[in-house]
Amino acid sequence: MANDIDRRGVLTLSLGAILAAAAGRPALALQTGVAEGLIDRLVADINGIINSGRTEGQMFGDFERLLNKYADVSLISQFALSRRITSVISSGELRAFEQAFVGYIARKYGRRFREFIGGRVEVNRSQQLREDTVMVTTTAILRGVDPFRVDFQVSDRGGKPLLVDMKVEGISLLRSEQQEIQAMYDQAGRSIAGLIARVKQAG
Amino acid sequence: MLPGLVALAATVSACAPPDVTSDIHDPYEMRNREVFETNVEIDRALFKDRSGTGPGIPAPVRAGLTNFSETFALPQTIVNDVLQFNVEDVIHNSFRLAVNATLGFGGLMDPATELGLEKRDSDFGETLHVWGFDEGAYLVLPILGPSTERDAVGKVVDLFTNPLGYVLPSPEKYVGTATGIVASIGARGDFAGTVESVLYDSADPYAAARLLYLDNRRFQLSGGDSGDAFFDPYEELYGE
Repeated sequence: MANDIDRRGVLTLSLGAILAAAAGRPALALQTGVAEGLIDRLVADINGIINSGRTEGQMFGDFERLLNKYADVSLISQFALSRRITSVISSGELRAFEQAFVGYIARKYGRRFREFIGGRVEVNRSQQLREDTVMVTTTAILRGVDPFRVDFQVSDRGGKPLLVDMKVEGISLLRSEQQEIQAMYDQAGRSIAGLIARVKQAG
Repeated sequence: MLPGLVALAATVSACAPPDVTSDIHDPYEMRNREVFETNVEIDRALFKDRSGTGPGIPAPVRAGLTNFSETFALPQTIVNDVLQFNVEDVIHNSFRLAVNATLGFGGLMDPATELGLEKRDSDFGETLHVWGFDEGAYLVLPILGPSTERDAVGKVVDLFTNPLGYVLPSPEKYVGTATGIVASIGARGDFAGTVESVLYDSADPYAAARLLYLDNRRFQLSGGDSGDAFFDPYEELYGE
């Protein structure tokens, strides 16, 4: 009896060790349920902010905290910069840009969240696209508008499950913002300081 | 008529380079930007306030007109469904037409959607896609706005199969017709307000409109498969 348990215990342990070694890291694949849970909490938190009755300025601060909590802001801001800029930026400038960028995103999309009052987001399904990436497909049902499709891309590549992209009817926030930041950079005469100043004003 | 149209499509697509799925192919950018600027000027002149409601049409009337023109466009959609061998949508849209033409008072109302027969658009640009034609270059058409070589050919063909579609466009098409974003992005009248303001507040409205159109159009043509347009930002940023 005791032997059995021991053997089973050893077996389980070694299986775990093999699996961990095979995966190359202790964490296993990102579960679709985990990704859906993240989106559920995100939507609930957004609704909480919208219905909080706070001023727009206060809400922008709340959205900023929300982004830092649920999204891989470091990835998103570096993607917006693209390698063209990340290859020439200093780490200090990168931190300053990231901070300005999160504020800009919070203002720009925070203004739109007013349209979500009385609306809801229904999770339809989720799809494992890679070991570390899940796409959560939802339908946004807002007042006076045809329901539309929103896909949330969740990845745990950054260490824990975080939102990396949001696609509204196929239009990617990542790609749109990359386009936007590249245009701002060019208009700022390809100056990083100029870009950061511009991003602080925008949104 | 059809062989001639196919020949027309073949001519246009023959000059186009291979399909670019994740990238933007815009060899006519200079000319496109000029057309875009003119379109924006027309848009500004017509809709200064950009309230998203169009020139003073009450919402219920607007909804009625939208439903009517959508029902009116259904035979054309069904023709395209047939050409795409999409049996399911042929049946879906035929029932939709039957229900809305009768219970919907000749198309003024849209009871089909309530019965679970939601709107499923199609057009000849999509038919060309199904037939294997490449997207071609990005184009900005006067008044109609963002398009591609393939979609422009599709629009010409659709003009023949439903001439009244252009005489009686959906009222939401009036809103920002010039930038064409509204008319081109899934005809979502109200959602379009959001798109428009993003567009107008953008650092480079031309490039923003181009990306919005292409991303959205490719998504539609993929049948809404989220895996289709999937890209890994980590790889793009940190990959070799």
